[in-house]
Amino acid sequence: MRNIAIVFTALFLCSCGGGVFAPDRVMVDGETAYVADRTGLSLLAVDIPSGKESAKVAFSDPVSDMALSGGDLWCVTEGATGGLYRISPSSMEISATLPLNGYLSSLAVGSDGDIWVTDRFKGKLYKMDAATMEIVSCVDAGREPCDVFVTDSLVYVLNALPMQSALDYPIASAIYVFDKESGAETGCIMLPNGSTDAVSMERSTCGRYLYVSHLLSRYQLPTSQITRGWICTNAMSVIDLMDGSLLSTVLLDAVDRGAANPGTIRVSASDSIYVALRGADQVIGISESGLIGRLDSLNVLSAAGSVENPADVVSFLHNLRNYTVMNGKGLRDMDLYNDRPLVAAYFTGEVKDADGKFDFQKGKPLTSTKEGRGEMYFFDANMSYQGWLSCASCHPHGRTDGLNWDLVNDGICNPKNTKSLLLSHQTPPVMVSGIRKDAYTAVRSGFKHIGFLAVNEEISSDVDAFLISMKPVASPYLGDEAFEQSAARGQVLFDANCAGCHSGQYHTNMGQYAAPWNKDAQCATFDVTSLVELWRTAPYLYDGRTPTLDNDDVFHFTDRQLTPAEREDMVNYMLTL
Amino acid sequence: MRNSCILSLLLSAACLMASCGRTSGPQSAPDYISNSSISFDVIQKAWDDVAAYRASDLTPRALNDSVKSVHRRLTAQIPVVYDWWLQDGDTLFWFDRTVGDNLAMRYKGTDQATDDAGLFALYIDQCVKRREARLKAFTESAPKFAFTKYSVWNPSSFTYTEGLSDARDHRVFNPGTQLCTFSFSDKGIWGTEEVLINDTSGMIRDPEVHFDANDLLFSWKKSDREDDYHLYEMNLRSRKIKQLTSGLGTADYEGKYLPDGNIIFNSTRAGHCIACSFNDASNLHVCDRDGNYIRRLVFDQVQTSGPSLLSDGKVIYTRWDYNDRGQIFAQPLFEMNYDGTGQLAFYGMNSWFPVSSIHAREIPGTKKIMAVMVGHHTPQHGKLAIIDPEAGRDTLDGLTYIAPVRSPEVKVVDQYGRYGEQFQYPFPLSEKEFLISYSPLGYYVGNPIHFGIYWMNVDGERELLVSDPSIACNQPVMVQTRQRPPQISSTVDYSKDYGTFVLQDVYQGPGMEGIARGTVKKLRIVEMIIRSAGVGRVHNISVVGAGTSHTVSPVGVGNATWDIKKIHGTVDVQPDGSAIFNVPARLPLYFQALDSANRVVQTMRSWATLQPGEVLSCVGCHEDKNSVPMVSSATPMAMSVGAVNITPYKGKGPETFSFQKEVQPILDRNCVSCHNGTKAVDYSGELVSVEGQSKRFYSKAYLNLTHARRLTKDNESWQGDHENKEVNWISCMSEPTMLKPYTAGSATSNIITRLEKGHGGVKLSAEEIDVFKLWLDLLVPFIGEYREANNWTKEEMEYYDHYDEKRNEYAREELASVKAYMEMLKQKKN
Repeated sequence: MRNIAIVFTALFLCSCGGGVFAPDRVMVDGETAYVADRTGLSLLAVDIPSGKESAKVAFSDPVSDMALSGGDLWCVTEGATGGLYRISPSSMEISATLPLNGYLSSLAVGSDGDIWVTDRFKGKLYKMDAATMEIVSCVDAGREPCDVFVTDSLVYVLNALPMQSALDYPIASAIYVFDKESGAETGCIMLPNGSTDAVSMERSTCGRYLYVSHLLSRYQLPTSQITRGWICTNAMSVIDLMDGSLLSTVLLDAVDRGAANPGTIRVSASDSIYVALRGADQVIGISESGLIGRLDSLNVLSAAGSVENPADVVSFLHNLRNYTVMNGKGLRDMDLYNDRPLVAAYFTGEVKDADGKFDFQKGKPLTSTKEGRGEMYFFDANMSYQGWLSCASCHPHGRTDGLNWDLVNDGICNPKNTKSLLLSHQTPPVMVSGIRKDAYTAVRSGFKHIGFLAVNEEISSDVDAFLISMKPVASPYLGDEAFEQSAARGQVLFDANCAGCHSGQYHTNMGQYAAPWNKDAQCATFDVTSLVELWRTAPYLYDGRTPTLDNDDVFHFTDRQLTPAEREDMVNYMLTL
Repeated sequence: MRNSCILSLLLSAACLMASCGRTSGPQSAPDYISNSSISFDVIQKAWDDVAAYRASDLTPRALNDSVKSVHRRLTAQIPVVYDWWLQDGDTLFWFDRTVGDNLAMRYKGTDQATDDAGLFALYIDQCVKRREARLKAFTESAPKFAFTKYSVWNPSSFTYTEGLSDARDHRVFNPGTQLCTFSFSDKGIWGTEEVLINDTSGMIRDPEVHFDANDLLFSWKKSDREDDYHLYEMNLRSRKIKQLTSGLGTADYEGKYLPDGNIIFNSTRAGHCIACSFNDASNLHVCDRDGNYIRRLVFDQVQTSGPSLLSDGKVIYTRWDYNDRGQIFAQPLFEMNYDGTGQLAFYGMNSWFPVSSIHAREIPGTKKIMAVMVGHHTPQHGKLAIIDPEAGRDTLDGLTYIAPVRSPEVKVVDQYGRYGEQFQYPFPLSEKEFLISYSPLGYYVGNPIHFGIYWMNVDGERELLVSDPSIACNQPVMVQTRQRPPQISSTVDYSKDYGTFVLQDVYQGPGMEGIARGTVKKLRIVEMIIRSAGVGRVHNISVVGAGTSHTVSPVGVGNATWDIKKIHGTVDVQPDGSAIFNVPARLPLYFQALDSANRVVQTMRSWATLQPGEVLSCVGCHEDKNSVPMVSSATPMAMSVGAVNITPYKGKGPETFSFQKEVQPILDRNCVSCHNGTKAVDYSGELVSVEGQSKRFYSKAYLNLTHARRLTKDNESWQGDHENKEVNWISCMSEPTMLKPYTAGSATSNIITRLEKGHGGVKLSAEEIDVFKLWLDLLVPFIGEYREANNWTKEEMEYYDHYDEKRNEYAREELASVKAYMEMLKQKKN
């Protein structure tokens, strides 16, 4: 069984043109590697020994996850017409399709042949009947579910992002647990405070533990902390499947070198936990028995609990890990072939093993385009001091991690919620306070004040091109007739009360105003922010104080009292933007 | 006096030195190897000579000296063969066996020989084959390295190598030097030496190859009294030499190229004197490739040395670090970003052992460091180790001795490492192999220790690559292109005069163990005022095994503070332990955590320096740099307060602490009516000279309150009783390791309790009692200015004034340099 995590950053397909090969999913079955090409909207079957492509299936959206079950190859796609597909591995022909019209982010097959699918933006977990290709159940599964894992009795759904107010403590991504039979939510496992950008889950060799990759952001310190080592630490949590508890979180980082943006986890038969480091172009290998032994020695695994918290020690895995440099950029996915890592290098257009014996390439890589290079730099932690973080560490998918950060580029002691970078170049000035005159300036300031490395103009220019190329994703709330009717009513109210400032195609007049509801803030004026993709960028307001739009401060500058129904209509309208 | 202008002289090496460009040394095997009978005869004669010495009536000492001279002769005549001979034996006293027996144990082959000479030839053949195998990987790419020849300096402490022309104390200078390269071609095992510069009257040191391998940076002092070390750069193609820095009376050395095109180097331009002797001190500076815009990066109490660039752009260096603790065991490795930000302990900050870590270099492809472990009063050579910072930051954590790989030979002694074989200046090639300046005979034979350049691996297998019978070969550095570390984006802003500290939680870290949350109310910010020169001295004795020392231009009696203390003021610590505050940049500052009674809970016993505009965050109070503790709150409370300025001391501003100005007036008002020496112990402010060594007057009150007395016969100066129940403090000779909170001072001195309760009908105000607490917690300073209460002669005053003025001139020059740098940046921006 297989649970592939989603790292789909390039929803905003840029003008890459034909012939670009951008693999971001790979699954190995025997001597065949199934490879998803995000730009080519296709799934390839590649014969590993010969390195030749043997078959190809085309889709209308990118393939986001795959699994094998009952002799069939299953896959899901993400996009406006995203759906579930059953494919015959021998013919590589689609034998059944279930359109779900969503950004389906992960797929898992249970022991009974039951199929579980998550929808990232609708926040749903679907149970499917494999035989009838019908939806059996659909439940809410938190914020941006990105990976699903099924046991004999339970289904674990990993959320990429936290759901809380940024002023809450703790604030972290969570794993929701559902009963396999009833579909009812039975629990929620909070990752440690500061956990964001969760990506992947994988079961331990012994079957008792579930490993989870995510960031562990130390947002309580200003980002200048990176100059003395770490700010975003990079972690793997260990969940006990016996009782659904978080046993421990260990840092993958080394002292003075970040293991940036951990992604896919795979456990080998030869005692290695492999974690693909998406921002570091490396695969980290951890001795599984060594890790379990070390945790055991600290009583982490016992009922007594540990006095020492492994997440407090950046060198916890000392002597237990090794690194394999993959010589490819953007390790979006990984599987094992002959018990060794085989990765999809998204930006350099390669599917390759660690030993250099297999290196499948076709067409042109994403790096052949300016936007593609910019996207690569955006996701590349080598652009930061000691490789601690990439731009995507705080801006996963170019959007937000939900946390408040104290950036030193606009003074100190004024932490603010991470903004989505969508349309930032089109809506100057930028930053919450509008302190940067435009996003071009902010990109360069970001490298300087957060990454702490001098980055040449060409790189900054490429990142500009990438950010400009980002396209908004249509609201997942659209399509529901009642909702849209409510939103239409809300639009009337919005236009009457809000459109003075939130005007134009991006819902901003690009002005700056004092904001009395932001009385705690140290900045005198605030930038009128774009509302495009507002449904995606919670929590809201400059300090992320509210996880929903149904908040008094969201309804600032309204002269009239809104009825609850009117308020709901306006919220619904804003969620459609 | 110094020439303050910066010269950029283009000199031709060929013009300067007649013998430059000379090549020597074989590309094929030396004669004494290709014709093994030469070496055999030398060995046999040595054995015969030693046998004759032993048969004679030489005294044991003379016999020992004679045997040493034989070792030296063998090293000079057949260097490579004798090194093989030594490494293949089990003792340096090989003369105890016959030459034949020696050969029998060394030759591992099965071929037979008819006589010793024949067996020796077989042995040499065996060694040559082994050399081929050992050097195969190294010589595959026709390597070339640069190195220096000079007589190894032998100062009283490893730090004193400036050799200033106007040195006030140590001046280590042994004229006669060469700058050389050694190269291998066609995968051979014998290389070729080329002399780039030969200077019979100067010293050349610290070669450093640029990232592009085109230029060679080095330091050159051409004369004992008429020149000082300055930075020079040679283009390795044209051999043109450019002088980068200049100035008689100023030493610039240990230059290293930086990723941004600048050069970091060590320099006496700090201008101050060390606290425990009369020597000059050097601090790290930076300049551009032409020697312009010289700016001081560290503002350290005493000496910094050995800057070394890591692959991530950090610079590590050895910092002598003894604020409020003993001076012998505190030479940790420090790190900083190359713009001077992020100055933090790297390894060995709070440990007795290793005593000093020097000549540190990163092992390529790793985060590990290869360094030489030495004592304090030792020359710059000792034992070789690899430090793995990830495994630990202090004592034996992360420390492995190599060649061969073993656990460290732990000896907590001042003169650590002065025994056996000697290592200096490793140049790691990989985690297994390195170049090294090495002497197998080391202290077995003794000074002058004769170093050669070796290829070596961590197991200790070695091959002598180059040596010189007349002089030591030192400081090998590969002449090869290397990856330029990433260029950091400096946030240093010289238009500002402050930086900002962000303290997340003062209760984190071992220094605050057992302290209840909420205890710490304020942080006191104190600056160390460093002396310009040493006049007079007091004797300090450690009761915890940290040795003995002197404080020159003493600030108090023996065991009082090393340096004058200037109090800047305090900042509030929030209930969650957080504090965010601005401090003046470019100063050595330390912090004291104060409780609600203004008593020191914990004091830093080190210092921190910020660059202007720098924001430096720390999780806790001396937390392990390997720790990343989770914090149990959404945001530190100090975040909502904002960065605060220091609440100035006494509402006025920074002020140094003088007993006479701060404490004595309180005593005069409240105490001396009884405490006049008649009714009770004398607490008057009358200045007295109790001995001639300190060259300082002390008040009777100060001497009596510190329970000062003379303790040793060979030192006249008086020492305070820092463990006295009534008045105690942390001795300046306290241990290098972390002290427990509330160790001494205001928290444990009975005088504070007495004053708070009221004594003899007198009750002081809280503010007055706070002055006593402050005095104790600053380690009982007497003076607030180095000239205060002096008992100096006119000549001694002139001596101090001379170095003070020299230092002030440096400061003025540096200020002008900073301004020029800012102007240059401005023009560049425009």
